[in-house]
Amino acid sequence: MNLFLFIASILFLISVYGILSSRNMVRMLISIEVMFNSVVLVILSLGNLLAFSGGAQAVPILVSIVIFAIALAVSEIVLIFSIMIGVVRFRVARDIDTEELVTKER
Amino acid sequence: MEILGIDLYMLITALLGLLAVVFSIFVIASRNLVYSAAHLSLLGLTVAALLALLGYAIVAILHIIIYVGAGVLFIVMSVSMIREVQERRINRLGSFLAAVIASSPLFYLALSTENPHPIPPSLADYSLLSRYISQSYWIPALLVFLSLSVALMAAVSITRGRGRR
Repeated sequence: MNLFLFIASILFLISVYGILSSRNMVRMLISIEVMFNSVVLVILSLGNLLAFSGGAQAVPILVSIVIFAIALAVSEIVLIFSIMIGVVRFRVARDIDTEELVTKER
Repeated sequence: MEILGIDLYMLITALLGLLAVVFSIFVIASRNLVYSAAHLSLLGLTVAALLALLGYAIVAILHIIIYVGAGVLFIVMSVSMIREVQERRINRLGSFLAAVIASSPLFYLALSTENPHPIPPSLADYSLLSRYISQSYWIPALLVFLSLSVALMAAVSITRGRGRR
Protein backbone atom coordinates (compact mmCIF):
# COMPACT_ATOMS: atom_id res chain seq x y z
CA MET A 1 0.00 0.00 0.00
CA ASN A 2 1.19 3.49 -0.88
CA LEU A 3 0.75 5.46 2.35
CA PHE A 4 1.08 8.90 0.74
CA LEU A 5 -1.56 8.11 -1.89
CA PHE A 6 -3.78 6.61 0.82
CA ILE A 7 -3.58 9.82 2.88
CA ALA A 8 -4.30 11.87 -0.26
CA SER A 9 -7.32 9.66 -1.01
CA ILE A 10 -8.76 10.22 2.47
CA LEU A 11 -8.23 13.98 2.12
CA PHE A 12 -9.95 13.86 -1.29
CA LEU A 13 -12.89 11.92 0.18
CA ILE A 14 -13.30 14.40 3.05
CA SER A 15 -13.09 17.38 0.69
CA VAL A 16 -15.71 15.98 -1.73
CA TYR A 17 -17.99 15.29 1.24
CA GLY A 18 -17.46 18.86 2.48
CA ILE A 19 -18.29 20.34 -0.92
CA LEU A 20 -21.41 18.25 -1.45
CA SER A 21 -22.87 18.40 2.04
CA SER A 22 -22.54 22.12 2.73
CA ARG A 23 -24.59 24.97 1.30
CA ASN A 24 -22.25 27.64 2.66
CA MET A 25 -20.10 29.24 -0.05
CA VAL A 26 -17.08 29.82 2.22
CA ARG A 27 -17.18 26.23 3.52
CA MET A 28 -17.32 24.93 -0.05
CA LEU A 29 -14.33 27.06 -1.05
CA ILE A 30 -12.33 25.88 1.96
CA SER A 31 -13.23 22.27 1.07
CA ILE A 32 -11.91 22.91 -2.45
CA GLU A 33 -8.63 24.00 -0.84
CA VAL A 34 -8.46 20.67 1.03
CA MET A 35 -8.95 19.00 -2.36
CA PHE A 36 -6.09 21.07 -3.78
CA ASN A 37 -3.79 19.82 -0.99
CA SER A 38 -4.74 16.23 -1.71
CA VAL A 39 -4.14 16.66 -5.46
CA VAL A 40 -0.66 18.13 -4.84
CA LEU A 41 0.12 15.11 -2.69
CA VAL A 42 -1.17 12.73 -5.39
CA ILE A 43 0.86 14.36 -8.19
CA LEU A 44 4.11 14.30 -6.25
CA SER A 45 3.55 10.75 -4.96
CA LEU A 46 3.08 9.67 -8.58
CA GLY A 47 6.29 11.56 -9.37
CA ASN A 48 8.09 9.43 -6.79
CA LEU A 49 6.66 6.26 -8.33
CA LEU A 50 7.77 7.44 -11.78
CA ALA A 51 11.26 8.30 -10.52
CA PHE A 52 11.89 4.68 -9.52
CA SER A 53 10.28 3.08 -12.57
CA GLY A 54 12.30 4.62 -15.37
CA GLY A 55 10.50 7.94 -15.66
CA ALA A 56 12.89 10.12 -13.69
CA GLN A 57 12.94 12.79 -16.41
CA ALA A 58 9.24 13.47 -15.72
CA VAL A 59 9.86 14.48 -12.10
CA PRO A 60 11.09 18.08 -12.74
CA ILE A 61 8.11 18.59 -15.06
CA LEU A 62 5.68 17.46 -12.34
CA VAL A 63 7.42 19.67 -9.78
CA SER A 64 7.18 22.67 -12.15
CA ILE A 65 3.47 21.97 -12.66
CA VAL A 66 2.92 21.83 -8.90
CA ILE A 67 4.79 25.12 -8.36
CA PHE A 68 2.61 26.79 -11.00
CA ALA A 69 -0.49 25.21 -9.41
CA ILE A 70 0.42 26.61 -5.98
CA ALA A 71 0.86 30.12 -7.41
CA LEU A 72 -2.41 29.88 -9.36
CA ALA A 73 -4.23 28.54 -6.28
CA VAL A 74 -3.15 31.60 -4.32
CA SER A 75 -4.35 33.96 -7.07
CA GLU A 76 -7.65 32.04 -7.18
CA ILE A 77 -8.03 32.34 -3.39
CA VAL A 78 -7.34 36.09 -3.48
CA LEU A 79 -9.78 36.69 -6.33
CA ILE A 80 -12.64 34.52 -5.02
CA PHE A 81 -12.45 35.80 -1.46
CA SER A 82 -12.27 39.39 -2.70
CA ILE A 83 -15.41 38.79 -4.74
CA MET A 84 -16.99 37.23 -1.67
CA ILE A 85 -16.12 40.25 0.47
CA GLY A 86 -17.61 42.44 -2.25
CA VAL A 87 -20.77 40.32 -2.26
CA VAL A 88 -21.09 40.45 1.52
CA ARG A 89 -20.59 44.22 1.46
CA PHE A 90 -23.65 44.38 -0.76
CA ARG A 91 -25.41 42.53 2.07
CA VAL A 92 -26.33 39.44 0.07
CA ALA A 93 -26.50 36.10 1.85
CA ARG A 94 -23.59 33.73 1.33
CA ASP A 95 -25.81 30.72 0.80
CA ILE A 96 -25.47 29.46 -2.76
CA ASP A 97 -29.18 28.70 -3.16
CA THR A 98 -30.48 31.00 -5.86
CA GLU A 99 -33.50 32.20 -3.95
CA GLU A 100 -31.34 33.24 -1.00
CA LEU A 101 -28.61 34.77 -3.17
CA VAL A 102 -30.98 37.51 -4.22
CA THR A 103 -32.48 38.10 -0.78
CA LYS A 104 -30.83 40.18 1.85
CA GLU A 105 -28.98 38.60 4.74
CA ARG A 106 -31.12 38.05 7.80
CA MET B 1 16.49 3.59 11.01
CA GLU B 2 14.05 1.44 12.97
CA ILE B 3 12.29 1.81 16.33
CA LEU B 4 10.72 -1.37 17.83
CA GLY B 5 10.90 -3.00 14.41
CA ILE B 6 9.03 -0.14 12.71
CA ASP B 7 10.66 1.97 10.03
CA LEU B 8 11.03 5.52 11.42
CA TYR B 9 10.29 7.05 7.99
CA MET B 10 6.98 5.23 7.73
CA LEU B 11 6.14 5.98 11.38
CA ILE B 12 6.61 9.74 10.85
CA THR B 13 4.66 9.54 7.57
CA ALA B 14 1.78 7.74 9.29
CA LEU B 15 1.71 10.26 12.16
CA LEU B 16 1.72 13.21 9.74
CA GLY B 17 -0.98 11.52 7.67
CA LEU B 18 -3.11 11.04 10.78
CA LEU B 19 -2.65 14.72 11.65
CA ALA B 20 -3.60 15.72 8.09
CA VAL B 21 -6.78 13.64 8.23
CA VAL B 22 -7.72 15.06 11.66
CA PHE B 23 -7.15 18.65 10.49
CA SER B 24 -9.17 18.10 7.31
CA ILE B 25 -12.05 16.68 9.39
CA PHE B 26 -11.87 19.80 11.57
CA VAL B 27 -11.95 21.95 8.42
CA ILE B 28 -15.21 20.33 7.39
CA ALA B 29 -16.78 19.93 10.83
CA SER B 30 -15.91 23.17 12.65
CA ARG B 31 -18.98 25.30 13.20
CA ASN B 32 -17.00 28.53 13.13
CA LEU B 33 -15.54 29.33 9.69
CA VAL B 34 -12.53 31.10 11.20
CA TYR B 35 -11.54 27.88 12.98
CA SER B 36 -12.12 26.03 9.70
CA ALA B 37 -9.71 28.34 7.91
CA ALA B 38 -7.18 28.09 10.75
CA HIS B 39 -7.31 24.29 10.52
CA LEU B 40 -6.77 24.62 6.77
CA SER B 41 -3.49 26.40 7.48
CA LEU B 42 -2.45 23.56 9.82
CA LEU B 43 -3.42 21.08 7.11
CA GLY B 44 -1.22 23.01 4.66
CA LEU B 45 1.73 22.76 7.06
CA THR B 46 1.18 19.00 7.49
CA VAL B 47 0.95 18.44 3.73
CA ALA B 48 4.16 20.48 3.30
CA ALA B 49 5.87 18.16 5.81
CA LEU B 50 4.64 15.14 3.81
CA LEU B 51 6.01 16.69 0.61
CA ALA B 52 9.36 17.21 2.33
CA LEU B 53 9.32 13.53 3.37
CA LEU B 54 8.80 12.60 -0.30
CA GLY B 55 11.98 14.55 -1.11
CA TYR B 56 10.46 17.73 -2.56
CA ALA B 57 11.94 20.24 -0.12
CA ILE B 58 11.61 23.15 -2.56
CA VAL B 59 7.91 22.50 -3.12
CA ALA B 60 7.38 22.15 0.64
CA ILE B 61 9.03 25.52 1.27
CA LEU B 62 6.98 27.17 -1.50
CA HIS B 63 3.82 25.53 -0.15
CA ILE B 64 4.44 26.98 3.30
CA ILE B 65 5.55 30.45 2.16
CA ILE B 66 3.12 31.05 -0.73
CA TYR B 67 0.11 28.84 -0.01
CA VAL B 68 -0.08 28.83 3.80
CA GLY B 69 1.65 32.16 4.37
CA ALA B 70 -0.24 34.16 1.78
CA GLY B 71 -3.29 32.26 0.56
CA VAL B 72 -4.66 30.59 3.65
CA LEU B 73 -3.95 33.56 5.91
CA PHE B 74 -5.87 35.67 3.39
CA ILE B 75 -8.81 33.25 3.86
CA VAL B 76 -8.54 33.57 7.66
CA MET B 77 -8.52 37.36 7.47
CA SER B 78 -11.39 37.46 4.96
CA VAL B 79 -13.57 35.04 6.92
CA SER B 80 -12.98 36.92 10.17
CA MET B 81 -14.38 40.08 8.49
CA ILE B 82 -17.66 38.37 7.59
CA ARG B 83 -20.61 37.92 9.91
CA GLU B 84 -21.58 34.30 10.55
CA VAL B 85 -24.82 33.02 9.06
CA GLN B 86 -26.75 29.90 9.98
CA GLU B 87 -25.24 26.97 8.07
CA ARG B 88 -27.29 24.12 6.68
CA ARG B 89 -26.06 20.62 5.90
CA ILE B 90 -27.88 18.70 3.22
CA ASN B 91 -28.12 15.01 2.37
CA ARG B 92 -25.16 13.77 4.43
CA LEU B 93 -25.49 10.10 3.43
CA GLY B 94 -25.80 10.87 -0.28
CA SER B 95 -22.83 13.24 -0.08
CA PHE B 96 -20.74 10.60 1.68
CA LEU B 97 -21.64 7.93 -0.89
CA ALA B 98 -20.80 10.31 -3.75
CA ALA B 99 -17.48 11.17 -2.07
CA VAL B 100 -16.64 7.46 -1.67
CA ILE B 101 -17.43 6.82 -5.34
CA ALA B 102 -15.42 9.86 -6.46
CA SER B 103 -12.37 8.89 -4.43
CA SER B 104 -12.48 5.13 -5.10
CA PRO B 105 -10.04 5.30 -8.09
CA LEU B 106 -7.51 7.02 -5.83
CA PHE B 107 -7.99 4.37 -3.13
CA TYR B 108 -7.51 1.67 -5.75
CA LEU B 109 -4.30 3.34 -6.92
CA ALA B 110 -3.09 3.68 -3.33
CA LEU B 111 -3.78 0.04 -2.52
CA SER B 112 -2.26 -1.30 -5.74
CA THR B 113 1.09 0.53 -5.57
CA GLU B 114 4.04 0.19 -3.25
CA ASN B 115 5.24 2.77 -0.76
CA PRO B 116 7.52 5.27 -2.51
CA HIS B 117 11.05 6.05 -1.44
CA PRO B 118 12.22 9.68 -1.22
CA ILE B 119 13.46 10.88 -4.58
CA PRO B 120 17.16 11.68 -5.00
CA PRO B 121 17.84 15.41 -4.32
CA SER B 122 19.21 15.87 -7.84
CA LEU B 123 15.72 15.43 -9.36
CA ALA B 124 14.13 18.29 -7.40
CA ASP B 125 17.21 20.47 -7.24
CA TYR B 126 16.61 24.24 -7.02
CA SER B 127 18.95 25.10 -9.89
CA LEU B 128 17.45 22.38 -12.11
CA LEU B 129 13.91 23.62 -11.42
CA SER B 130 14.80 27.26 -11.99
CA ARG B 131 16.48 26.26 -15.28
CA TYR B 132 13.36 24.28 -16.29
CA ILE B 133 11.02 27.15 -15.44
CA SER B 134 13.12 29.93 -16.95
CA GLN B 135 14.09 28.10 -20.16
CA SER B 136 11.45 25.46 -20.92
CA TYR B 137 8.40 26.88 -19.16
CA TRP B 138 8.84 30.64 -19.35
CA ILE B 139 5.43 31.17 -20.98
CA PRO B 140 3.51 29.40 -18.13
CA ALA B 141 5.67 31.33 -15.65
CA LEU B 142 4.74 34.58 -17.40
CA LEU B 143 1.05 33.60 -17.38
CA VAL B 144 1.21 32.79 -13.65
CA PHE B 145 2.89 36.14 -13.00
CA LEU B 146 0.19 37.92 -15.02
CA SER B 147 -2.64 36.05 -13.28
CA LEU B 148 -1.19 36.90 -9.86
CA SER B 149 -0.92 40.57 -10.86
CA VAL B 150 -4.48 40.62 -12.23
CA ALA B 151 -5.78 38.87 -9.09
CA LEU B 152 -4.03 41.42 -6.89
CA MET B 153 -5.43 44.37 -8.86
CA ALA B 154 -8.91 42.83 -8.95
CA ALA B 155 -8.81 42.16 -5.21
CA VAL B 156 -7.85 45.75 -4.47
CA SER B 157 -10.51 47.20 -6.77
CA ILE B 158 -13.27 44.86 -5.52
CA THR B 159 -12.62 45.38 -1.84
CA ARG B 160 -12.32 49.16 -2.25
CA GLY B 161 -15.68 49.35 -4.03
CA ARG B 162 -18.48 50.94 -2.01
CA GLY B 163 -21.31 48.75 -0.74
CA ARG B 164 -24.93 49.55 -1.54
CA ARG B 165 -26.42 51.85 1.06
